Amino acid sequence: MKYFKLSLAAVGLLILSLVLLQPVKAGLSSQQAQIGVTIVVIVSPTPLAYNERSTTTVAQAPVITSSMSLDRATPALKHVFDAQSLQFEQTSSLVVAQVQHPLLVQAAVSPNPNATLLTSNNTEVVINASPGTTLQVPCAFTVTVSTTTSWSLDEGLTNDFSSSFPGKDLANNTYASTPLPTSTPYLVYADDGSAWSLLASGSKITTYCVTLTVTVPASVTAGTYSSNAIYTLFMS
Amino acid sequence: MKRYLLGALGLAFAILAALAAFSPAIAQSSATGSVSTKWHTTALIDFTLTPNYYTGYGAVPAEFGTQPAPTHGPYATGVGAGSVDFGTTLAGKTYLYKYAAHLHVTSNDAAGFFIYGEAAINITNSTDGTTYPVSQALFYLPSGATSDSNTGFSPGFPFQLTSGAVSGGTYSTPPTIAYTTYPPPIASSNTDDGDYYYDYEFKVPSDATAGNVYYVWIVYTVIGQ
Repeated sequence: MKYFKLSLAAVGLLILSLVLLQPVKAGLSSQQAQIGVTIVVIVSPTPLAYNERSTTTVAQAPVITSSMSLDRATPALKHVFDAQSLQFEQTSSLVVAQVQHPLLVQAAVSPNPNATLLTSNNTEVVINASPGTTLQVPCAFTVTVSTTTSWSLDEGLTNDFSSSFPGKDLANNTYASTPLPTSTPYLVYADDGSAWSLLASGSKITTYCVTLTVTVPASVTAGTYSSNAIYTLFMS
Repeated sequence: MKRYLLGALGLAFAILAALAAFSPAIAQSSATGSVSTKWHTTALIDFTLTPNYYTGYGAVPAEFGTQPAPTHGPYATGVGAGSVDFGTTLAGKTYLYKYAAHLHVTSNDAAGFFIYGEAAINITNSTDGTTYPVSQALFYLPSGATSDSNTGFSPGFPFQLTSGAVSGGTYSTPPTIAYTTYPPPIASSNTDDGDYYYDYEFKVPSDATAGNVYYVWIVYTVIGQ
């Protein structure tokens, strides 16, 4: 019985300590800013192979296109060929049916004391690539932390580019001064338990250069794909 | 000699008469044939652009988890009316505008059509005229007709500044764009009709001037394929 009471007391103390520690952790590190960089990958169509002209085509009789004009015929001839003497201007420009409508987009801006804590020099990166290829974009964008208060910086990708184009096919090499030996695939928030990965921590104003490496699977069809690289700043 | 001259003149008249008599016969010779004539007629295209197209339109800040209720500025005057007005935004933050634009396209072109969507101007401060590149600030993404699961962190595509010739485009003057070359389309259809629904994302520049209003004109153009 004595041991049972002691066990209960120990469990109670454990729960109490967990409850008490939770606010302390939140106080040590709370989210101050979050920015997103849109990554657009434009996948070009797979190049077509050269198709040599077949012998069947060569053997076919050539098609001869001819035209005639009755402009200088005698009046009598013009009279006889009246129905055929129509004049058609050669097409010199393509007339296109076009309809256009504008839309006004507007916003008012109010002050944000945290606006410059975490910034990027580029909010969207466009990468052109072909299926089955790997492409690297050196220092595609920078991420700057502008505070001397103790901070930590998380990173991650919001989603896959498509069901056949995983977000992990995009890797980053994020460095302050010298590129790292290898690149690291982004953690994908939608696939990896709604979690980010820790990029760095410190207490100095720091700018990171982010070199992107994208590998487009061979099965990806031509099109435009998009995801967001998210950076979140926590401060004490 | 006189007889000889008269005879020569007579022969000449006879030849001329013969030529005159045979000439019409040559002109009246005829042959028949066929002429093939081909021409193209331009397709008839029409589309309606509806801003704030569904109840619940408006802006939400980019957040993960439970989404706040959308709000909008005073110039988004109602469903199907006004402008896409994000209202008051914080510098450095990202916002999603739900149910921003609906394009309803009808045509008689069985081959379908292309939709182009471009900015006539960059993001412009209505007070001092300073600008930000529109491709860095305003994005579009597909939405639904009556439901919308997007958040401010859903992947979008940047609007590009047009390279066409722009007329108008001040805050109070709707612009038009004259194209000599069309840009890549934002959407296309292989059928004659279609509906397209879009949300917008606005990444407010971190150094945008507080207290000022920023605006941009988006121009949608539809042509037959």
